[in-house]
Amino acid sequence: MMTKNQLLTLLLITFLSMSCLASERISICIDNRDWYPFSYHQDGQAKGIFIELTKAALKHSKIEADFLVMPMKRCMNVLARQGKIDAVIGLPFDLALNDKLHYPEDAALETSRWRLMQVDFNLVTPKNSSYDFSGKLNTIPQPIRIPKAYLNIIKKVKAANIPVEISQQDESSFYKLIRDNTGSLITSSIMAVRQDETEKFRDKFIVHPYPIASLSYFLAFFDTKATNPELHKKVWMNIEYLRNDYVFMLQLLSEY
Amino acid sequence: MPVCMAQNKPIDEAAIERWATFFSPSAIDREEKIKELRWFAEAAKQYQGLNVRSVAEEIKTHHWESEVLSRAFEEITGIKVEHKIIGEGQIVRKIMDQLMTGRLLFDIYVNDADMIGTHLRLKKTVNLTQYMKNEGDKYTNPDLDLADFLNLEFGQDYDGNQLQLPDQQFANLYWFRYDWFSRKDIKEKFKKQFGYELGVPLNWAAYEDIAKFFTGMKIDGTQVYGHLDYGKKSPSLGWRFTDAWLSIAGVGDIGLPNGSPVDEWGIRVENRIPVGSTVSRGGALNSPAAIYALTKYIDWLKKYAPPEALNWRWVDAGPKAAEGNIAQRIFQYVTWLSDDAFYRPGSVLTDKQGKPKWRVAPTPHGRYWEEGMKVGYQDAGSWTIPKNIKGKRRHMAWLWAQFCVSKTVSLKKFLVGGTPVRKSTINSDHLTKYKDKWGGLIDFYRSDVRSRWTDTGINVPHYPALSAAWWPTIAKAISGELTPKQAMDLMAHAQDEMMAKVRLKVYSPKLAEQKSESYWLSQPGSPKAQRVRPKPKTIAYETLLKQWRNE
Repeated sequence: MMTKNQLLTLLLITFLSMSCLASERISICIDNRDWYPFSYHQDGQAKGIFIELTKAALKHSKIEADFLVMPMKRCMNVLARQGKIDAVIGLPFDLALNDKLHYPEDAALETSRWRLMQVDFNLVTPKNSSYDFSGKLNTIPQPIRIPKAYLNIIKKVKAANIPVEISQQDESSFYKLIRDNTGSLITSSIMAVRQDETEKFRDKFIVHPYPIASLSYFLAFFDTKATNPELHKKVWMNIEYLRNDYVFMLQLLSEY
Repeated sequence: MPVCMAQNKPIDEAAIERWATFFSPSAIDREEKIKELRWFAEAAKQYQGLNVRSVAEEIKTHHWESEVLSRAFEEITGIKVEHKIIGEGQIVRKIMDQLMTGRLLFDIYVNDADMIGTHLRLKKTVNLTQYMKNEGDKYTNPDLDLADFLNLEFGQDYDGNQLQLPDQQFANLYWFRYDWFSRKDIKEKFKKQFGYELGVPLNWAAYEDIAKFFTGMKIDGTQVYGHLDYGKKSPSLGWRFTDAWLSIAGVGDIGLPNGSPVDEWGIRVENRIPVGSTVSRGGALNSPAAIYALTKYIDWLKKYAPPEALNWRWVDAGPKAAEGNIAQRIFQYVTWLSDDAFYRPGSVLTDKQGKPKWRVAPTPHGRYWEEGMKVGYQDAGSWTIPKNIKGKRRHMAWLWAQFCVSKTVSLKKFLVGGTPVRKSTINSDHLTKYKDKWGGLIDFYRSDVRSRWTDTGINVPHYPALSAAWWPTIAKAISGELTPKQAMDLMAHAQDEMMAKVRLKVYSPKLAEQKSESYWLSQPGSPKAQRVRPKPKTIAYETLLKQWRNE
């Protein structure tokens, strides 16, 4: 039987441990768009390469995270203002957000050493197409199918006054491209490989080598009490370390 | 960014004639050269005006490909090549990025065949054997003549499929000052001090004696060192070991190309499955032989090499012997011997007739080495196409690769970089006439013994992952932070841990149950129990040459 003093001591230890844990826990939001395999949600849980890489990098600094799936606007404009969110995953560098978010110091470069990942977006045409992408957006065969999750790419193509056919997901873009045997689609290089490994689409399309865009994606921090610049840098360094760890990346990428 | 539209112009016969003249000497005659170059022009006709992107490491051979061969290829075929030259470490990063994330960084890589064990297990590169039989048949040079290649097996999987095609190769040999080793006064002094003849060392005991003998000696006014090496903390410090140093010490088992069941990385492999590197799992990376290999490397570096060598990398140490103060080097990559300083008339390393004062010979063995084991390392930078390069890009890349190893260009390329891939190059009349200029290298490549110099081989399941643990640990042993035993223990356990984690498509490692070290050390073969220093042995260089020539 536990004495009163023992019970009080136990409660005190539990309280102290909880406070300690609480200070090493942060909240991170991810966009609720489905961007497989980088970030997506399944049964309300955040999943994907960005999330797993972030979790592992935080673990190195003994930090745990709650991942909150929500529309990015709500994350940026409501919760972040209220100080309820410490960081956000899966954004490329955006000058307009630079006053709200802490990005790594080299984030404006095309390839940052502190990135979660570098994602290339490539043009895909049907196998019998004789078109070669030269870098000129206005020559791309239309319709240009782009999944709705690729916000930056949609913005880039639209800015050149070129119409875009928004698709739900990569797979539907591929389905329409192969079915109609016309036009093009834009996808990530990793997704192009995945689709080429499926029975349905194998050897049925050409991936053009010059990317439409090549972007570094980040874990970026808000100004909150839970983190500080020193910690940001430490976590980004952990990310770099893990990204260069062949065994870790092999394990991670083989999951998707 | 270039606009890429195929042009389909008539073949430029004048360009073919011009380049056929330029590629002289050649192992084939002018008519054969023109026929071969015309085939390239015809095969590439539908791709005129397009471009291809390749990448290779920073050695003389690849610079020449980038500056000269790419121009020739473009003028003959109309395909523009961007042949980028970067560090070997970066190439490995890029190719792994492309294989794992599908980024289309390059159409083709010159990637060391040391990665064959990775490629065969990942299954993310083009199987060239299948490709040549099927859709690549139209784009495969009828005069490619695979049987003419040296060490084609370096780029093959367990079943003999070609996954990588050699573009350049260089062995790692023993290098020494033949003029000093032949001088009567020096020979007498050595015999008096050590009781045996100064000659090409056959074992590490003799190498060590010779290193000790020359270090600090003044020869013709120059202070001499008995050894040359490098020790800077850098990825190239890892190559110093993974490029077969352990096999030269005798760590692995008998059997070519890499030792079986234990190879030169100390990995035990059973039925194509790596099962462990630690002695307790039947491996040998922390065996007495491996500890001895590291101990000798550190001792000699600190005692007999120039003091600055501790801060040199592979590239720094490469041509250093040409400065004229080094008596011998146990680990000389022959690619560095293409540096002008080794040949230039008037250089300290050439005689009055302009012939080299140095020679190359087989690397002496460590005390754990046994007859039937590999005796040295051979690097084979090999053309490798990622599977996500498809259709015309794959065809263009393959045409470019074959052009760089065609019989038309191979001899000329060898004369520039000293990295042969064809038997016809080595056996050419031109090299018979001028072989003395190469200090024994041509004799080496013409002999049967060259098959005992092999690359990393197919047992290493993931070269980039496993090799990453080597150099930081070796650096700690050099600085004294770890003893050689602690370092090898750490590396062996790290390698096992990594093998336990990696999951590959085929022949993925599966660690064996642990047993006591004494159990494994008492079994025949590797891992081998501790041995004592053997009697030092040397051989006269002339006798060695006769052996190479089967005289």
